[in-house]
Amino acid sequence: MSATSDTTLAPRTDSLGSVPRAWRKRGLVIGGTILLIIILMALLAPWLSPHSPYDQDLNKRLIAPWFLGGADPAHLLGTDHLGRDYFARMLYGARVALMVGLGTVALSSPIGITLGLLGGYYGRRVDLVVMYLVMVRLSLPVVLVALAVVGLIGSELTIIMAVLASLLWDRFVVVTRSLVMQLREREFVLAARAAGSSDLAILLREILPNLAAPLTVVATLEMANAILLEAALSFLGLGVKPPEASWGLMIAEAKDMVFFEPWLINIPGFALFALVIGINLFGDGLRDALSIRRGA
Amino acid sequence: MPQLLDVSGLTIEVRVRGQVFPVVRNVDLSVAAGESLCIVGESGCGKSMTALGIMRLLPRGASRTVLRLGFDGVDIAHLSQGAMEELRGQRMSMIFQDPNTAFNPSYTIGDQLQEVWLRHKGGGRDAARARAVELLERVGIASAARRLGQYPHQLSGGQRQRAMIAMALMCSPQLLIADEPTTALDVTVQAQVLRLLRELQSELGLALLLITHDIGVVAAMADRVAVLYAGEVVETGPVRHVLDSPCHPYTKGLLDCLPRPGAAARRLVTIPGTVPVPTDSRSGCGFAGRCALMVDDCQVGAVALEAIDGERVVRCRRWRLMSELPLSTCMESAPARSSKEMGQPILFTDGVTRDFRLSGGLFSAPHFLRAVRGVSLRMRAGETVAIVGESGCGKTTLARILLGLLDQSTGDVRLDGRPIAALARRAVARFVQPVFQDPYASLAPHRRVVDTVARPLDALAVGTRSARRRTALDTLARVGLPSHLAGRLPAELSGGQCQRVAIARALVLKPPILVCDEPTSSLDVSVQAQILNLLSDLKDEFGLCVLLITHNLAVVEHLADRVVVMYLGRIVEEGPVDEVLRRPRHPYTRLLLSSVLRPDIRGGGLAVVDRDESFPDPLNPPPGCAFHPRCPKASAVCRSQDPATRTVSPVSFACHHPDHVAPADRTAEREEKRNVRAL
Repeated sequence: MSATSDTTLAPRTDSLGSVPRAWRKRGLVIGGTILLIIILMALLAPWLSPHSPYDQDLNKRLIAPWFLGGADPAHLLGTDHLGRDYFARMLYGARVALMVGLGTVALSSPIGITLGLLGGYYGRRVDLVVMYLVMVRLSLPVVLVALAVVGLIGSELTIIMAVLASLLWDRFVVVTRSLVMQLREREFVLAARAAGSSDLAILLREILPNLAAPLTVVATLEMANAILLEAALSFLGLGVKPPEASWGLMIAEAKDMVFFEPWLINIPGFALFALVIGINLFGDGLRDALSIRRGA
Repeated sequence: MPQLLDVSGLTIEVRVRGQVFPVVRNVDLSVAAGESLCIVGESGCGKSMTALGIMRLLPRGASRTVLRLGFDGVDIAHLSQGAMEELRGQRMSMIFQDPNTAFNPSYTIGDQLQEVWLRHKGGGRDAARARAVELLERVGIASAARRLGQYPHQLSGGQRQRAMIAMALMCSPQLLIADEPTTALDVTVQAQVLRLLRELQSELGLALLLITHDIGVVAAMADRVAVLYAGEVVETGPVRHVLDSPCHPYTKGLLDCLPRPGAAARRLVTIPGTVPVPTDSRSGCGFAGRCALMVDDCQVGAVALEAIDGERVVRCRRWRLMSELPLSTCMESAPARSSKEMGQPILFTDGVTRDFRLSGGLFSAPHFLRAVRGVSLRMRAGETVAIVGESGCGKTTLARILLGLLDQSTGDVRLDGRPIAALARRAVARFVQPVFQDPYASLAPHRRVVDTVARPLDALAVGTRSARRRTALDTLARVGLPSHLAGRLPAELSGGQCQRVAIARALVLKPPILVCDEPTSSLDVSVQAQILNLLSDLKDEFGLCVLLITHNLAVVEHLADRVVVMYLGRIVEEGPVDEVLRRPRHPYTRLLLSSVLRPDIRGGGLAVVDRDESFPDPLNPPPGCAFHPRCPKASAVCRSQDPATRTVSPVSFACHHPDHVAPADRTAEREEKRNVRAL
């Protein structure tokens, strides 16, 4: 690096202007809006729908939703094959999806980030151990292992989250480790060491803050991943148990009717799609907003 | 003289977040065949953009307007892209700053050289290959045919830059644009490369447009100089006029703030303030805010170029008053180097060696790189010691050992009499603190300046939080950082300001020793002067002991009391600065000194250095004296026996054939030789 590069055209002044710049990012706004709507739906579920998601009414089975000319204005999205209100089940399903997404990442990110920090910072033997663990993890097929464990232990929501978390930390490790390996040679880290900071303080206070932006992206990707995996597990019958409402489970329950009442599958399918896209857009936008512009 | 390149009214604007800012304003340049024009200026003045604008290679987001872009009698401003591509590489070519990134690492040198030829001349690979071999030999790369099959990483930095020159010359261009071609190189290699460029230029009748920030390079290379400031040419003229009697206050400021060999003044002249960024709005003269000749008029209206005589042009309304430029602000003379009594050694090393293990393959033994070999060093309180040497000589490794960031493999390091290994990290921190080269990299980008300075106090948990903050603010004031900047992030500060913050962080624990690793080499000259002045003030104020690592011998002479010359991990010469730099004992010191470009030696000063492949492989150092393959005085003894370190007061050196050693000592030397022969 040298001072003599003449192309430092970007002014070094308004890096604090990250908030207005962020709002110019359309992705952040769109993703954020989708997420906000789904979160509000999940939080306000009991007030948004007069129906319980579990009450069956066999007299009112398979009512079409309003946009398909559904007959009953009380059931906005119609009812399923047991006569349960589909809108209520969608709302409660959103709770499950969000809980699985957040819960899994909340559990898996500390595992992955810790391993990545240790491996990247200490290198050598520690790194060998960390990379060995990553390789073991990568050799396990996620869906099969999750199915097996859930099948053996049980399928409460907490267990599903724990199992997914114990399988989805590898990307955190890889990203953290490679960034730490670059950062640990940077001069501000050397300066902190020379100032007598302990290794723990260096890892937490010098290195970790610089990882915020890339790790945000990983976290959102993994969140989306966990939501999709939960849906897959529920679809396969080893996830959330009936009569609970989960979008994957709703798709599974409707699979016999895919040719006759395709909306039963399309609605939760679209919701999953919207949530995952929303999370990814939001994550990308957040990364741009978080990254501090550096001089030179 | 007909001009080969004739640019007038070149303006380049850059779009930043929807707004347009001029980075190059209305620049006129001309270069004749066989002439070399140096564009000189600090970073951010638009030098590189000017070059890219001439090549029509501006980055996305930059737009250019030009009255005339004449090349060999044709206006190329509106040529089609296709026609431009025919010109580039064939009739005009460019050399970039960093030889490490200017080659594509996935292709061999030969492929990349031949591609230029095949692109423009077509024809067979054989012709291209023959031309490539011819040019590599011409630029002094030995066994050129073999080198063609090698990849860029297999060449040394100097070889790569010479290969870059060969690539630029493949099609015998008429115009060569070199953008800081030697900034990333060691002084010895710089001398080689510049000498080569000058030879090639006169041999081939090239027009050379050389962009540099280094007045020494200008003095060595230029026929004419154009001084660029804030996107404008402020002065143009023949090199002797511009360097000897500058007509623009900025040119004078640039020249004055260089530390010069032999100058008695201990304070350097500085140019107050910094280069305005293109996003600042301004009217009038861009230099007005920093100029000692400034009057109110200067800030109104555009300043026109004014011809002084047939050759010289200046953009200053008050150039006639240059002689009135007050000298008192320039030459604030400080007490000469004090020969103060030095105390006990507070830093002491004995036979320090450091090996790095380079992993071999699965079945081969690991290699060891011995970066530091048996270094014994003493520093007394209040003393400033400079370590000089080419890159790879172990300076930085040694500094990191002294900072406690690396352990030595063998040997003894003592701080104030206590072995460093026995001290806790915190105890070492209170004793020795670093200042690094790159001011941006050395500050955590996410942390506000005042918190960065308070970090060492936080780490040691000194006092309350608010007290630590107060201390940090005091220290920032002490290093001359305006208090309103304390809450900023590093990215919002200039390079010089960041370096002040880094110095404040090093001083906040009040350590007796400061280790400065190239503290000014990534700064502009005017800022370098400010930082050097700051360091010498702080030295006096705190009685600091400074270990200065640098390749810039002018800085050494300016700041240091003693100098240590290292070669391949070993100290080859050590002594008081005046003694070592005036009368070098070791041929390596002499080589370093002769490679230094001096602003006051015009067109000369480029020593003939080095045969090509004599730079030794640090993994496999030569037997005997490590310097013998490059040494003009090497004899049989040098090839077989590593010279012991001898002391002839006040200098110690490790050489079999030292210069400037009294005859009495010569006898000793001869006897030694006889003993060797007897053995």
